Amino acid sequence: MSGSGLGMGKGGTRGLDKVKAEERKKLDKNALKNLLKHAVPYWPQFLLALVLVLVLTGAELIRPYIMGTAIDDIVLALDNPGNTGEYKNHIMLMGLVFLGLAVLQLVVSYFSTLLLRITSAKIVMNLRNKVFKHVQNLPFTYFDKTPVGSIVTRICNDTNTISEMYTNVLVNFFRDIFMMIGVIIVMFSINVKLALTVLAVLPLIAVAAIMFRMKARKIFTRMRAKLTAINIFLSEHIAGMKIVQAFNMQNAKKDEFDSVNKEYLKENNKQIITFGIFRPFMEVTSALATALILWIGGNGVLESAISFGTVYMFINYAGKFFQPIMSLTEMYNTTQSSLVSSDRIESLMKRGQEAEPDIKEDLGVVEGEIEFKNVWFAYVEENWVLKDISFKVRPGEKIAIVGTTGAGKTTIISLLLGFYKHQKGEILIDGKPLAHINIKELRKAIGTVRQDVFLFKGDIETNIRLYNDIDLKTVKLAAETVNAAKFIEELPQKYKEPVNQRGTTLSEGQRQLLSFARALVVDPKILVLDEATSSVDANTEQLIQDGLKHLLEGRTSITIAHRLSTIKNADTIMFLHHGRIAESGSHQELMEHGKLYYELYSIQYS
Amino acid sequence: MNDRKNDHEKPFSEYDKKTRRKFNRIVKKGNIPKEIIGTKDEKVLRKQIKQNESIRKGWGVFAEFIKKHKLRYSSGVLAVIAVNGLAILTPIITGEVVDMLRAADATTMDSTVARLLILCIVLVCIAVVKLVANFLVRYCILGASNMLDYVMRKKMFNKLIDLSINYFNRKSAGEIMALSTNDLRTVRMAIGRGIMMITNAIVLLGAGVLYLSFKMSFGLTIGILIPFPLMIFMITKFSKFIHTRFRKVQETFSDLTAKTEENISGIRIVKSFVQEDMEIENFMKISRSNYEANISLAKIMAIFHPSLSFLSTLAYLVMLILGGFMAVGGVISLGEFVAANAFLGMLIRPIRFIGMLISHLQQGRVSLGRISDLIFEEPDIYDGKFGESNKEVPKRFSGQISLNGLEFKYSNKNENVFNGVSTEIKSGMTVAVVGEVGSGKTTLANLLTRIFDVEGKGMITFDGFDITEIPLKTLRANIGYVPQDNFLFSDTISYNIGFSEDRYSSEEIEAASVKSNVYGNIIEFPDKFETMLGEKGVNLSGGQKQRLCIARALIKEAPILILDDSLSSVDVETEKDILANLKDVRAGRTCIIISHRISTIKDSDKIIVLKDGLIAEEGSHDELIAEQGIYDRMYRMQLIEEMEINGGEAS
Repeated sequence: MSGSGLGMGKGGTRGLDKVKAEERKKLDKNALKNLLKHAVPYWPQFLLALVLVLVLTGAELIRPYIMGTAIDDIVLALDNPGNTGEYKNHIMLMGLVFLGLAVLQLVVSYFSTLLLRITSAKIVMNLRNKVFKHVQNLPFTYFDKTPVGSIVTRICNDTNTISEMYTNVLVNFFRDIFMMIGVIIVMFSINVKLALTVLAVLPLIAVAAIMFRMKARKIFTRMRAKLTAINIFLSEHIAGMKIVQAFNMQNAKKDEFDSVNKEYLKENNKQIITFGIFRPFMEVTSALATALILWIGGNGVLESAISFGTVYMFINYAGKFFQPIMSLTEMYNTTQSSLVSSDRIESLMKRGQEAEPDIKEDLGVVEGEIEFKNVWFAYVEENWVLKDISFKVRPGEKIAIVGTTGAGKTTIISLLLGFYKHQKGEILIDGKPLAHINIKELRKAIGTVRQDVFLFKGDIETNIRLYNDIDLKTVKLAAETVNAAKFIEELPQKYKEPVNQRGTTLSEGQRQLLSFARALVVDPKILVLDEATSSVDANTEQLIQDGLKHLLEGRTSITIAHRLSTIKNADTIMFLHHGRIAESGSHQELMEHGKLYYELYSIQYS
Repeated sequence: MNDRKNDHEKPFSEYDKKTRRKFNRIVKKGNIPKEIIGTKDEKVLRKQIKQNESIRKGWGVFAEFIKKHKLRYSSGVLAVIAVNGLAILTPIITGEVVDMLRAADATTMDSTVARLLILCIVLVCIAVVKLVANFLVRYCILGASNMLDYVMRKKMFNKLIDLSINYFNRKSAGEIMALSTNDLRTVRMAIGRGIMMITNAIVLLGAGVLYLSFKMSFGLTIGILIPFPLMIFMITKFSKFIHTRFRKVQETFSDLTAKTEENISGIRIVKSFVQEDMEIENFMKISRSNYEANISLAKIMAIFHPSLSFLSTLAYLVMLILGGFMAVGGVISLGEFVAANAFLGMLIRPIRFIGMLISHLQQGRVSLGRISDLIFEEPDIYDGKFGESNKEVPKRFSGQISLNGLEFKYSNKNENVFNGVSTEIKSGMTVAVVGEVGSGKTTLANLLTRIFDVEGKGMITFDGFDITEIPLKTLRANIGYVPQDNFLFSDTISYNIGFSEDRYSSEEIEAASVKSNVYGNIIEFPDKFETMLGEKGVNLSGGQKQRLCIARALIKEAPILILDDSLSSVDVETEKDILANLKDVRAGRTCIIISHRISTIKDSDKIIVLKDGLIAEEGSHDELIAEQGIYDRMYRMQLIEEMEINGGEAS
């Protein structure tokens, strides 16, 4: 963060809004289709869930009807005092039906909840696995350009957002629609006049709900923008705290932060006002509906055209009618963010993976011959890092690459491993062009030891054998050969000693030795190693050098050397200078040549 | 994603009841009995005691806030009472209407219609008045919680800006940001929405129960309220289960995130060793356990909500049968039956929120503790840390600096950076510091500006005054500092150059930019000195940024100038120009230049070579070359880099 030194600050939020708007626009027409396609394999589950929800909606619709009927029973009983027993029985019956419905709802909603949650959990798991799998096979250029955090977000969080769609939206959408249609049918079949009354209030509620939603979304967007502004300010100032303090700017910065903070407070208070008016306003409209039903229904009761129970039912149905409108507007937001996530995942999935070669050549048993023929390479356009590199390594030969920083040493190794594609020239392994070889087969043939040893969370053993199918005996043998066994045996749990991420519990030298064992255990024909520069104590240094010697025995190797003492015995030493091979030959020859290598050597050992 | 959850430590609340009680007693007392010391419970308990202490302090801040806003809170509570009073009226009126309609006959027909109309209008009016009261509730209580959010965040930042860099090395930016967003939000939720919901529930339940038992038969009230305690019991019981399982979901999710992060960070190794398929398999295993955690949560959720609904339905059932029989028997009127029915609906709602409320309040407590940890954090470096500042320290230094047997160690490292460094820098001298990566060059700059304190042996003096007796502001005002990481703020160019509490005129800003050779670049931008930097403004090259940073230091005209590797991104030509300009600036000024490039420092009065925490070589360029030591080697190495190869085509 501090490297680039620049974040975003004042006014950055407006830019963010714009980005959001563009993002929304960018969602192509297929976005919804893409989002829903993950559910297609599970259509039977969703169909079943839908049926269950239909049952629930039905039960929900019957309840006011029962209560209303009971009220009518009471009225009838009061009007016919002689027959109370009969009505009491009827009320009892209604109670039983009510209980039956409640039990039905209990059971059905248990199964429908379970079904929906399990299905959507399954969808997320499968989607996540699919995305992860895809990412594993993406080319290096992708990882160079994309920050780790953003890839993690794609795989972990965006998939979660999508699952919201399946748990909370998909089926509930139908539930709300069913409910509204159901209420309309029931109302009209009971009393047309009252049904029309309720429908008359509908536009008012619908308009209020939609307006509220729109307004709320705007406010939320602005609140988020202001919060983002605070976050940006904070992260920038945490990164630049040293500068703030070194320049005595604490007080000025306090004021600056106060104004950003106040902006957010203002937006928060605006939210209170909007919500404080709109939410209660919805209550006013529903009170209006109740009043209208009471008025028209009441007059109907007086004219004996409508029963008390009917009035009761309508007050209830009106409530059930308005609720779905609110929840439908809420679904819009979830859908929107799911669409954005789905779109992001979709564009990630569209990225091309590391391609299979057009013309395939089987690598077979590797001899270990490497040849670079006039290879040119640039990370960006014509900015050549390697210029016309040619060399040949015969099986079993050891070559070393030396040179100053930025000369292109590591790039040669990256090309050999197929991390990047060279633009001009040819690279041959056992005489076969690199472009014709399956990239995984190629990498299996080449063992690598890198300067920054990356350890995985796990134990020593798994960090040596990785996930290859290799038994402990072989692991131990490899560790012994490269001198790693000694320190491993001294660990409390030996080969089972836990290693944390990045392996911070081990010393630099120990990690280096582990990486030798890791390279050796797969017994590769070709070895490339980027020699460590870090200073370790003389004892460890001796262990490392000795381990290295064993590691290199009988293999073709390319070593990037920083300390010349280790490569004196190499068959060929290449001096890379500004992307070209400036000198090449044995130690003896280069010393006699008396130029770059000689200079370098004499600096280190004068 | 969330570091705090990564260690998966069993939280206090998940121990069995007996242990929990015992632990609670220990935590209350604050000292841990001997038999627990050394067990893994000790860590848990210590954490809990510390957390409680933080929460207690946090409550102090909160209590103070309430005291200050007590008018607001009390009017909020009054408004809550009003809202619920009005809410109760609605079913009462509905019941009234029913009874009125029942009682109507031909003679009273007209007056009944008139009264019906009036009551209907009253219903609407009540809703309108309720709207106002509701607004007041939100305005007072939620408004106060927003205010609290603002005040706490302000306190946090004001503390943050005085904390030393040590704190920022200890805490990641992400953690600090989480305090300002997530934790403050949960506190605000607990204190705003939480308080609103609690008062609401209490008032409504109280009023409802009172009304029911006075107006209607006691038996009916008891009858319909029977499911309520059951519901509360279920909610409190279940929320613990749900919490545990939800935590499991989060844990597996953070495992998933950690695995993904590890995999992506180590993708070079994964690919080099062709481990993709095994990594996928591994990922799928963790993905599976996340799925399973989700399912186990789903199972409990699928029981919880439907059974809660079922219990509330039971209340209706009692209402229907018991109330119905009573109405038939004439014990209550039809209107009362209808009213009680409507009541029930109103009372059930707040009960359902109890679970949410509990978790709001619990989370709020924990977050409050975390926030108060920051608010009450003690800064490491401040005036008066080593006794009173010396009054005789001059406002402006002459620029004489001496280091005397300096020893220093970063608190998070095992090895010393300095093992006794002594040197004398006369005022007006230009001194260069060179050495390998990690030899302590930047640390020296950090100590001189007192970004870190010399906690070990040895001392630094300016004009003979010990650094610890110089007021921080004076010290830093006397040093023009150009840091290694050329950090600029996303603001205008002129803001960044004139970065000081002193106001500089635009002429002064321009002059500084001329001296650092960046003027030419600036006037090429359409907005010139008002050009915004950062993502929404222009992106500068590394060299341009460095030169802006130099301008920012030069404008202070401080007697001491520290350049920490500040010319590394500048090309050789520009470097020469800047150095030429600096020559004028350097006149009469002490200048400390940290650099890798020999060309930058060749002409210094003194060159210091740091190695293994000591000054390995010291002297002028020629003297050190003659010594044929480290410096000489560095110099020759750079000569090789600059060498041209014969015959190679230029590109």
